Amino acid sequence: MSKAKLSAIELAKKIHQGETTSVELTQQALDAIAATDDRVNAYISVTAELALDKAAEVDKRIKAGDIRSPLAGIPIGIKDNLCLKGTKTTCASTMLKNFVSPYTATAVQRILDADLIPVGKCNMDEFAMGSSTEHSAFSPTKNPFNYDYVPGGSSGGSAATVAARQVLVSLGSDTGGSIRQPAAYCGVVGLKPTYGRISRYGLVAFASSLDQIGPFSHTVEDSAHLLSLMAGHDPHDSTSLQQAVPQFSDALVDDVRGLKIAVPAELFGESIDPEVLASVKHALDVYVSMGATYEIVSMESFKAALASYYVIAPAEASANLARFDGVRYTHRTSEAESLKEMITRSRSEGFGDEVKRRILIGTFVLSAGYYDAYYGKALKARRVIKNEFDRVFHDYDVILSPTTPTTAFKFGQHSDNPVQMYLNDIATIPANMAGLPALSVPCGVHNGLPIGMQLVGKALDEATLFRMGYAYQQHASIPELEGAL
Amino acid sequence: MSLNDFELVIGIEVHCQLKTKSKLFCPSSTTFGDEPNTHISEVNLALPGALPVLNKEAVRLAVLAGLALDCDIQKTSVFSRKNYFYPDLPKGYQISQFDKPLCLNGHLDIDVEGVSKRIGITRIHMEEDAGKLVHQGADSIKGATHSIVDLNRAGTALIEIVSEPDIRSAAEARAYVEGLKMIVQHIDVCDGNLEEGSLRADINISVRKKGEKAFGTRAEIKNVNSFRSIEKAIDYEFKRQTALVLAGEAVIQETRNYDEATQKTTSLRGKEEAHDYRYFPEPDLPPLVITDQQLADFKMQLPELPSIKLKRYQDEYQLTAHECKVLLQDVAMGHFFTAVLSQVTSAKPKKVALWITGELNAVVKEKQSDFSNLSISSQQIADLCDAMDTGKVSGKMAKDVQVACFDSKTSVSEIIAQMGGGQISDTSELETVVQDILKANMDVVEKIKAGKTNSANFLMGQVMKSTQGRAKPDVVLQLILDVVETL
Amino acid sequence: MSLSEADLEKVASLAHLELDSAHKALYVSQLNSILDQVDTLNALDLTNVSEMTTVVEQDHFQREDSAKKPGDLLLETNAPAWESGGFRVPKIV
Repeated sequence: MSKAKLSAIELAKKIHQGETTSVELTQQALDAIAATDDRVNAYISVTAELALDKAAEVDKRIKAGDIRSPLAGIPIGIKDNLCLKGTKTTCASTMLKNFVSPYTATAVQRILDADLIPVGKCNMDEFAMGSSTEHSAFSPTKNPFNYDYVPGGSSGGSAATVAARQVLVSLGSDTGGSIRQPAAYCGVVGLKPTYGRISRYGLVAFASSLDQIGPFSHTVEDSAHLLSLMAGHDPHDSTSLQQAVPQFSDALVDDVRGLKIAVPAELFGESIDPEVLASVKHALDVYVSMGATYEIVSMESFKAALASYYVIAPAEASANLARFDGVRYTHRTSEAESLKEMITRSRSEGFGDEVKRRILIGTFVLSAGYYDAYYGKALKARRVIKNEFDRVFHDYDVILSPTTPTTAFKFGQHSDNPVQMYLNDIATIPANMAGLPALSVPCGVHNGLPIGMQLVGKALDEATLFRMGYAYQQHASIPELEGAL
Repeated sequence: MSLNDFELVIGIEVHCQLKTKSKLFCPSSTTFGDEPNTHISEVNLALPGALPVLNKEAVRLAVLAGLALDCDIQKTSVFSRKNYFYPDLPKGYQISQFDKPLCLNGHLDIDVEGVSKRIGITRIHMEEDAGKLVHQGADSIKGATHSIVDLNRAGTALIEIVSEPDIRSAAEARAYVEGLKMIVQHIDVCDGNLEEGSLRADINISVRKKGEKAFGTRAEIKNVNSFRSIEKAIDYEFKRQTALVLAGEAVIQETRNYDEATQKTTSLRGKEEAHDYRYFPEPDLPPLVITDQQLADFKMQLPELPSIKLKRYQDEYQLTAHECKVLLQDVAMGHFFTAVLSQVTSAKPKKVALWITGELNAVVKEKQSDFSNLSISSQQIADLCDAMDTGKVSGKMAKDVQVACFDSKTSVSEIIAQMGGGQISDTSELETVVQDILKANMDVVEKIKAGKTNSANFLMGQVMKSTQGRAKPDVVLQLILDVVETL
Repeated sequence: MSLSEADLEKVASLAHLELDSAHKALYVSQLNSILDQVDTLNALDLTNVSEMTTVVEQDHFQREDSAKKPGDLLLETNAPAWESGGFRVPKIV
């Protein structure tokens, strides 16, 4: 399929010029989902009526010349940990399987105000905890290129729906790599913005100081447009940045001359599969041919990033998930005599294993006597990681590495060993720890599965990431994957 | 060894609900008394994805409280999560302040039977209130079959004021809480009502042998809802703990509940393990920074403190201790007094104070009203005090005029006119009347001439009757004596 | 540092989670392998490093003190047990 066909911006132009309508495109998306989702399982719920009603409204507006954004009329998938008023927001958990949200997340509201059309809520690892979408209470999503393989996680459904071309764009969330890793595994573009760029209000919290919402797309262009629509201060989120938001489409310039790339040694050696390494090396060559330069640098603090993350994220999560107690809006056990029993049973029935594991670790590292040894230490390690990034960005414009050590793995491959599973995140975690923006762009294939490269930028410098990603997509040619579809 | 060999060591934690229109972290209304669960938002409900946003007015009020209690206001303070499960705590954690609170190192001076003492204040921090549990099937939590959760109160802004363990008696404890109440009411930061719960006190008590430096094990007493309860709870605990120590048993560190009906404390801990709150800095809120400019602005906004007012009342107005106490304890009355003072033209502050704390206060109490919603204006009272001062009305007449002022917009002078005029003090007016009365009672006149000056009272009564009580008594008396001379 | 089954039970109680005996042993070993990773933190030089508790360094945004009426919060729709205008919970003691 040609690049143009995968560009939401191009498709939107067709609507705005009257060559097609939003209703038509929305119906096509719904049809594609109906035809393929029994196999891919990218969606927990499909909001067909809502979508078609909105599409009709939007068509009316567009006809009248009221085009609210460059992407007006385009169907979009929404990860099921993002609140959309009147729809079930389950976070792929039994705990919230019937929860209807009475309000809409700010980021989603901005998408709605821009006249995009939400078609459904995408599958994910329960409460965003996982790297494979195997931990969904609603059965896993499959990698559209090979059903025996995972799409990645936790935003597996959001990545797969774009990869399977059910829709061209979707929203996910990223705490330790949950947008970038599935983007790499599914051969699509995934962005985690600077922490605070996009409001977290209405994003069901996993780890408050790490979570960010971000877009999936086929093109870097679409990613830039989506970020522009969602970014900006939100008075409902005290951690949302007050800085002005640049027009990100201005960064879509095919010119990387003079840009200095740093490649972390720790992510460019034996910790990475040789095919993935080769693919990323090739991407570096492409950049050099376009006038950029690169150097291998040592980023020692990366070695501690995984451990630090697996203390901080579960600690915050253990508190964030305490509200799920069977009292006000969650699953409640049918048999309990006393309050403590009711809460304990409801939580034990409502949460899956991975969630329980993380709550237990989180509770443990914060408990009396252990704070300094674990949480306090991890917070210090976090500062060391941030300082190291600052140091590297003093001399370089962007940091490039593989997004993941391997291509997608098989279902069940890491079931018995959580630590093995966590190692998938070694390249993505550091950017969350430092709050920096990071973009995953497809850069190759191996054995029928996609490979992604990751670009990490300075705080607030998504523009450089878009420039680098856009230029790459104009010049690199990656083999087309047929996929299972 | 007996009770007398022991001393009390008390520290008090006072929670004050701040007088903000909306809650600490979301714009839900703080009005109470309405249907349950009607003043809540997705934030109080702890819906997934909800986030806290700080109320700037709550910050201002908290800083004012800190300034009024002589604290060091911290430039940077940090919010923390205090984690535990309870149905009135929707998030499963309370947003509070732990190791970096807003205020440190303050004090409150109290006066117990003429002895002044300084009680240290360790810290003041901001935190959110929990909701309410209404227990069903029994009068209290024990024996209830189930409970209903009402989150209207959840999220209300509170400050927690923690004292040093400097308090040594029930009387001091009472004076301390009364003093705090007076201050927070005066600076308009909190309603300060123990019975309604806008002010709550938890008492930490331990005992030790007199002369000992080390602290004994302390118990925390909750549910003291009146000043009397504070004293009774302390009395009971003193006896209970010293009895244990004298018997060689240990005092358990625990939370105890004060029961108003039995005036005893009972243990609240069953087989529960002690709470492990797992405090950590709140990631959803950046640190709270108070700039030098803000602090300077807040200092300018601090209203006159009760201790300063007291000095002014005593030195400038020569008010009695009782009058001062009444005017300071009732903030609305104090405001009314100030308003009247600004409106009188001749009456002296001391007389005004006497009238307001005496006659006016009595009528207000009778009407079961209070000074915050009076149906009489300060202008009317000011005019009334001036009328008494100039002799236009007598004290007795003034009472009647006052009654007519309630619920009426009519001016005092008009009311006096309506009543047939004010006090008559003009001798020329009265002389005729006196002459007539005396001539009609010559036998009494003879008695007076013979030296029984007391008999003048009878004649006075007659004059008063004849003038419908309007004659000025001292003028009448002098006239009677003068006329007697001439007869 | 390692976690024993007794530690796990204490933590589970704090977190209000119930673990059956089959899961207990599994979790103990899994949690320990995760906690073992924490040793890598000790490889870093953390002397004189302060804890990084905020990612965003900017003025604290504070809202005006005005009350707003809520929209329909779907209280009854989502409540597992609704009674007399409130959330019903089983007896506490």
